Amino acid sequence: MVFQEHQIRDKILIEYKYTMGGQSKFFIELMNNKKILGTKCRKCKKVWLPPRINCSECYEDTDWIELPHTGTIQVSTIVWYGAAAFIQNVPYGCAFIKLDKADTAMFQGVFSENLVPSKLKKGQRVKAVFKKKENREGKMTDFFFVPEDEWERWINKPEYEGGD
Amino acid sequence: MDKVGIVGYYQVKPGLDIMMSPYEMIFEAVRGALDYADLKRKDLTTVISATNDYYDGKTISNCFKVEAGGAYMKDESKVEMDGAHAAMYGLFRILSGNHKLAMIYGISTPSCYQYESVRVLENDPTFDRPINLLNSYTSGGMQMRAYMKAFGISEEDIAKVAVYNLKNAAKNPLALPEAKKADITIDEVLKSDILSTPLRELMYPMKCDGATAMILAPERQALKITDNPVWIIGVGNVNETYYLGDRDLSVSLSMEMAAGKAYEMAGIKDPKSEIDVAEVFGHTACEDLIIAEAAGLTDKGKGISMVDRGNLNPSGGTMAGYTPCANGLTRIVEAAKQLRNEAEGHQINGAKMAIATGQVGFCAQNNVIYVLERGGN
Ligand SMILES: [Zn+2]
Repeated sequence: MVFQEHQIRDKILIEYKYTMGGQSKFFIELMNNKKILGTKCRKCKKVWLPPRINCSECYEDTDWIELPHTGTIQVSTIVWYGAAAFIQNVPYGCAFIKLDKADTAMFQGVFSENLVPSKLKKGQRVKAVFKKKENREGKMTDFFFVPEDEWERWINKPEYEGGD
Repeated sequence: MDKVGIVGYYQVKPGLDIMMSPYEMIFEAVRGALDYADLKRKDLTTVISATNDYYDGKTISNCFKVEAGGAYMKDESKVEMDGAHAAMYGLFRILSGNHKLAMIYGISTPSCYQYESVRVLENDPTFDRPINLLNSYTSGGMQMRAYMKAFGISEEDIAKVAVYNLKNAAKNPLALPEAKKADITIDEVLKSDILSTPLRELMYPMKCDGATAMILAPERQALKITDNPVWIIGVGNVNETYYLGDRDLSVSLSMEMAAGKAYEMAGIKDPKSEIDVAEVFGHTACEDLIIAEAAGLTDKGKGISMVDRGNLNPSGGTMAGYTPCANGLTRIVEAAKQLRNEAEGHQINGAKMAIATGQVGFCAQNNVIYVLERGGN
């Protein structure tokens, strides 16, 4: 941002924490056991990912369900231009991925050795790659997706590993 | 619904950095709308604004704006959404029977904060924000890709919409000067920088400082103020899930439902033939089409036909300058100007019935639509 002499500068830094209660299970299982958990509606059986504590449609309780690490790209993009908050990531691929057995899609980074739109097409099969245990911190950044045919190569890199 | 009249409005001329304080801008807009309607501050019974705490760098962003907004010692509130939502709040207050004159305004000055970065704070802080990949560019890129795939639309088609909007902006005296591009070509749009595949820079509106104000009055009061009010005869509002992964991004289900409600209220049976002009708030040139289609103005995937007909966003829409918190209100005012034959340089001849839309959220999560009818002669 360009400042002129008469303009008043300010910067706000406030610390927050976000308490997830019972929903923390998703992040704890991700960190400790490389599991991706969704929730399943007790009534209509819809499987939600990201997990919801209630089914948005039936307004009933849901139960935890473990999901496979494989899925399909629903829609994706490659980003070539970033504003200040995310400029360090450019260029990057990201997509909505429907894991097999899930009914809704989750947003996540998709990395590829050859980052071109055709590699991130709708219908492309992808598989999760995790950071090594010592680097996982119970956040969404603990994992990402890669095209299924690149998975073996990604998990053989020293900083990453595959799930079970 | 009882008729509610739009009896006055004013738009501050937008700019990339207009070097005015927000209070000067609000005063110009609110005072301008009062002067237009030949009313005084004392006539106002309620003032509703659309502003945003994060954009303004202070919480309760309206508390400082009370005096400039004409709300000193009056009934006053705000919405942290779009100006079109503030208009809905004002409409409810009028319809309650307790208010005779509502001032609505929306303002933001993106020259003073990093708009794209602040919008990242709209992300859910648990699942989406930590990965730091979801933002206005990525959501716009994915939405455009979904739309193109679903309906066999090309990048050239979306570039055509951008060209149309930017050429319309050139005819709109209140468009952002940098957005007025009378000679822009499809090729130039397709050669502009990629923001997020396949979304390009010239398909994405420029953010600008601006403020828009509008005055609402109940039917009897409106007719005392002017012989030619614009009537709000229908309104609809629907919110859908925050998580974009739950949604089909090639369409807008919430706008479709909101439009259904608004048309039923207004007695509109065939929006394709009954609506003469539409001012819609799209976040990208592509989203203009998705919203127009969801509002029933064309079949799905056929929004480009409105560009050929020329009755979509004659003002240039948000591509003529995107002012956060004011966009939807500006769309309503532009539609009202069409119905009062005041759209200098971009008038659609004989427009009698219009729609205007507003929204908030990534890929238009929450949509609001107004059906407007020309009053008087
Ligand atoms: Zn259910």
